This record gives sequence, C-alpha cells and structure tokens, in this order.
Amino acid sequence: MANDIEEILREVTIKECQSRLAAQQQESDLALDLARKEYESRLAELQRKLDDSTAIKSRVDERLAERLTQALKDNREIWLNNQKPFPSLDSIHIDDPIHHQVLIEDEIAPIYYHPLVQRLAHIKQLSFSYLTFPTATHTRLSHSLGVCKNAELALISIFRKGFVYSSSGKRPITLKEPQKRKLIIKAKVAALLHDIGHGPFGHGLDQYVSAQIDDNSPDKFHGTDYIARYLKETIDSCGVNADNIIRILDKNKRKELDDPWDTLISNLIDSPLDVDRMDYLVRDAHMTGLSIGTVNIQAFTDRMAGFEGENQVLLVFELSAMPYITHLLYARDSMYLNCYEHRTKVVAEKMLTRAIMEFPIRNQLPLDDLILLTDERLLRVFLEFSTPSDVSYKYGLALLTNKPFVEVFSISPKKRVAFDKKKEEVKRQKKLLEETIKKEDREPTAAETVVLSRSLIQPDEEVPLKPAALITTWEDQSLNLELRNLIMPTAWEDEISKHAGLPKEQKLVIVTVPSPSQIEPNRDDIKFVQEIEGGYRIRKFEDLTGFWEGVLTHLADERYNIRVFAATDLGSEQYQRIHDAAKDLLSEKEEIRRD
Amino acid sequence: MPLYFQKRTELRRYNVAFIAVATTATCAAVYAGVGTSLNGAEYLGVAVGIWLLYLLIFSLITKPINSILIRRFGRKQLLAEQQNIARVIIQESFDRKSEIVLPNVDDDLVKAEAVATFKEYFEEQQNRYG
Repeated sequence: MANDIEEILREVTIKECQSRLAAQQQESDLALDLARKEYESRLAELQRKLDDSTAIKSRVDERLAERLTQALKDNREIWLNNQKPFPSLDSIHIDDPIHHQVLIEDEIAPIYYHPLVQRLAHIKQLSFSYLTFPTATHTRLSHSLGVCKNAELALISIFRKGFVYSSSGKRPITLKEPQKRKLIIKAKVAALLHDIGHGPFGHGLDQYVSAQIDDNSPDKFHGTDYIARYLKETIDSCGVNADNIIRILDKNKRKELDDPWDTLISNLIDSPLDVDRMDYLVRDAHMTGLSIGTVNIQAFTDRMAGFEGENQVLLVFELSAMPYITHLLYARDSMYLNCYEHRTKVVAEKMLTRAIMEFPIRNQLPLDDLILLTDERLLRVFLEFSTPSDVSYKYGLALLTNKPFVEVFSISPKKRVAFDKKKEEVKRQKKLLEETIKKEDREPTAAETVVLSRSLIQPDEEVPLKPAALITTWEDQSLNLELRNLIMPTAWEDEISKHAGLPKEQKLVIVTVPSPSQIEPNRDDIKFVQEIEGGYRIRKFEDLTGFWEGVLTHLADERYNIRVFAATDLGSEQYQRIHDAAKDLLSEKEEIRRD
Repeated sequence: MPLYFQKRTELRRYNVAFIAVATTATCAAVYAGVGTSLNGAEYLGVAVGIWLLYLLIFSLITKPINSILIRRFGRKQLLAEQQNIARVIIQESFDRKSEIVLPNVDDDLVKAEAVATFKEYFEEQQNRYG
C-alpha cells in the first residue's frame, strides 16, 4: 500500500507540477501579452505626442525665425538709417575720465551723431572683462573719443615742433593753419571711426567672424564696409573725403594715399605704437583698476614727430621715448595677461561663439546682421529665440548671470619650447666646460664642479607639459581660420567629453585657443629717428633693444595658452575626469628625470 | 451492484435492518412456542440479549470487512479518491502550508478508506524516519 501511495504521490506531483507550470506559462503569456499591448499603446501615444511636439516645435521655430527676421530688420532700421539730416550742430564738449575734455567740432558733429557711431555706445570696450572687473563697462564710443583726443594731441605736438625729420636734416612744416586744422579734423574723423566695424562684444567674436570672412581683422573689414556703404554721404557733407578715410583705415589701401600727411595720420591711428593703444591701455587700466596698464600719454605725444620719406610723412619717435615705449609694450602685454586674455573673458567669448554656432535658427542670423547687433541685444537674442534646452540659451543665460565655465586644464606650448631651449643651452655650456677642462688637462675648480654636477632639471623646477602632436598639427592650420579657430577645438571638446564620460551634445566642455595674431608680437614697425651725419635716419625698435625683447618674448610665451574649461555645475570627480582626459589628449606622456 | 458499502448511512441501514429482521424472527419464534427448557419470557430475554451481542459484534466487524471489500473490489474508485487526496496534499505543500491536513470524511466510506490509507502511510513514514 505504501508503494501505491508513493506512486500516487509521485504521479500527482508530476501532474501538479505540469499543471502549475502550464498555468504559470499561461499567466506569463497573458502578462506578456498585456504588457506588450500596454507598451504598444503607450508607444503609440508617445509617438503621437512626439509628432505633435515636432509639429509644434516646427511651428515655434518658424514663428521664432519670423520674429528673429523682423527683429533683425528693426535692428537694421535703427543703426543703418541716418534719417534726420542735421541742420547745424554746435561743437560738443565731452567730459572724459582719462582726457577730462574731448572736443568734437561742429563740422564733424553729424558723424558723431550717426547711428552707426552711436551704436558703439552699446558695445563694451572689454567685452566680458566686466565679469571679472565689474567696473570695466566702458564702451567703444568712449574709447573712440579718447583716440580722437590723442590723435589731436599728437598732431598738435608734431605741428608745434614746426619741422619734420628727413635724411637731409630738419625740414620746416610749410602747412598753413587751415590746412593743419583740416588734417587734425581728418585725423579725428578717422579716429572716431576706427572701431566702427566692431560687432557685439568687440573682439569677442573675432575667431568666429574671421573664420567666416577669412580675414584676421574682421572689425577693419566691416568698418571700411560701413563707411563706404552707410557713412560716405555724412562724412562727405562734413567736408572730409570718405574715400580718403577708408584709405587711411584700410592697411591694404594705404599705398593709394595721395597726401603725404595722410600716411602720418594712418600711422597715428593704426600702427604698433598708435594713439589707439595709448588710449585703450590707459582707459582699460583706469576702468578695471589694474594700474599696471597705465602709461604716460603726453610723454609719447610730445616725442612724436614726422619723418619725410618718399611722398609720405611717417610717424617716428624721438630716441628719448624709448623708456616710455618699452614701458608701454610691457604694460600692454601685462594687460593682456591679466585682463585682455583673462581666463574668464577668454572662456566667456568662446561661450558666445559656441552659442552662435549652436543657435537653432542660425541660418536666420546672417553675419551682417549679427555684426550689427549690440552686446545686450545679442544675449537677448539667445534667450528670446531659443528654448531653455538649447545650448545657446544655456550659454546666453550663463553669460548674463556671470556663470561662465571654469578652467580645469591648460597647456603652454611656447613655454615648453622656451624651456627645452634653455635646457639645451645649459647642456651645451656644460659640454663646452667639460671640453675646456679636458683640453687644459686640469682638475675643475670648485665653481666648475658645482656647475658640472648641477642637474639639468632642478628638483623643485616646474616642467611645462610637452604638447601632443595634434597641437603642432593645429598650429600648422594658421591659414585655414575655420579649421584652426572652430573645427579643431570643437573636435577636441567632443573627444575630452567622450573620455570624461560626459554627453557631448550638452557641450559641457570648452577648449579655447590663442588667436593667430598672438603668435608673434608685432613690434618691428616702431620707428625711431636717429641723427646721422648730414641728416636723420629711421631705426627700428628691434635694432635698439636687447633686454626688453627677452622680457616681451617671455610675456608672449606666457600668453600663448590652450585652455580647457568645464560647466560650473559639475562635481569635483567630473572635473578631475575632464582634467585627465584633456591632459591625455593635449600633452605627451613623458618621464621627467631630475638626476 | 458494488460488493461493498460506499456510504456510512447505507451500512448503518443494513445493520439496523438485519437486527430488525433477527429480532422479529426471534419474537415470532417465542410466540410460536418453540419448545425450550426456558419459559417464554426468559427465553425472550436471552434471545434478545444474544441478538444485541451479535448486533454489537456485527456492527464492529462490518466496518473492517467493508474496508477489505473496498480495497478488494473498489480499487478503481479508491484510487480516484486517493489521487484527489494526494492532489490536495501536494497542492498544500506547493502552497507552503506548514502541515498537511487530511480531509474530514462524513459519509463516504471509500473516501474514508482513502484517507485511512494515507494515514497509515504517513504513520509508517513517521515511524521509519522518526
């Protein structure tokens, strides 16, 4: 009986198991079926919503594009239409923190009141420096007025001397007072208009715009264009030849200048040591509070002179200006280090560039219209014509609320080159000493022993990172500005984001690169006048200086950085990952031997 | 017709009928004056007593006999009941009940027999494995 029961239990167990399995299978099938149906229904609903939102987004984009087009048209109306002709205007006396008083004569007052000139009052001279130096909100207009004043002072000083230098001695200036006044007025007009082609945030968009127009000086490019297209009539009506002003401001057209004094004016407005720099250094130093940038303007203008060449009068400095010039160049590079290329300003300008590149309706924002916007208007464009999920909106908001990206890594390729050069020199000197001792067949002296036993790299010496090969490849692209300024740094950003485990579409990493103009400081065009037998000759700054050349080269190397920035809302672990990824990408791995 | 009682009420009815017939037969014999050494009343008393004893013994043995008959002739039905009980037991084990409870049986003797077989089996298992 027991066996029977066991047999029954076994059979029933098997049957029960089978039945339960079948039931579970059925239940699973049923649940799966239900889940599938639910999933399909939800998917269909989501698809429907997606279709709806795509349609809505498309309509919103269309609407945004329409609104943007209208807004840009309105903007053009504001700045390009000089509707009201001025019957007659009085001279304008303007108070100024640097020059105390700037005079705009009545005959050129219409130029000052032209909307394109007044637009400069809405473009900050130092773009995003106000994020670091909140008082640095002075504008391109105040700077242009300062340049006006400097140009006037310089010409008055040159005319007061009563002569110009020449290879055959001092030659008297034969100009009559009305001619002198006309030249001063011309110089002031050129000075007033020299920055007219600046887009929003001044040089802030240079890398983007220069890549678009394939020109390293986009402000000059647009400036002469504006004068030719929109200001010609006004300038001509003031008794100044607009074409002449264009030739003064456009370096490529200087050979076409017919009045010898126009060359002097063009040198005054745009040369390595011009009245433009003299104003912006002092003004920027004053407005930021960085006293390192202050220079003695009068010391320069008093030492300026004309040098009569072949059908042109060149701007030269008397030799006594040398200490002031070296100081100015040092002050300028110091200002670059501490203000003009301050990391916050650099990344903010790059964020602005990226915001434009990522702007969803970028096609509706032509370059000409972009350049014509003002600072605040451009930031408002990002907020008004993109949505909060767009990169351009996020960047625009970050810039508006002073939350630019933070620096996590930087590399200075030229510092490394200088370091290697220095070490090569030390090595060479050691070798030379060894050879000398060997040749003289003697024991080294105590001092020589110290020199010979000294390590090539000191224990606490900082060794600049060795740049990776891709930086050399990037440096070779100086002729292709789009590749150099935009495409390659963007590719690096994506690569770093990928290796740091960040979603690249959110653009949480930014790489900034120095502009091509930063590669070599242009100082060779500063001219001095030197007395020789029977007359005078021009000598170049580089022929006269040794020590300062080294200092300025060192400063230029310091300025030449490739930097990696990251969004402010990341954690310390993510910053570390970005730092490591950037270091891996941009520098060569090497073992430093300090023996 | 099955050779065993399937319901407890049927068995009880059979027992009662058998006793009734026997009692009636005894009473009839007394009244017919079947000659014995006893007088009528005594004889009746002894006869009834014997029948009552018989009844007691009969009712005690009919149940085991019926069990034997069920196991012998009602195998198919018994197996069906055993399978039902086994199903209940297995289901309860699968459903993680703490102890196995065999079903109560009121009237069905085949079912009772099936339960009894399981009781025997589990007692045997318990004795074997402690």
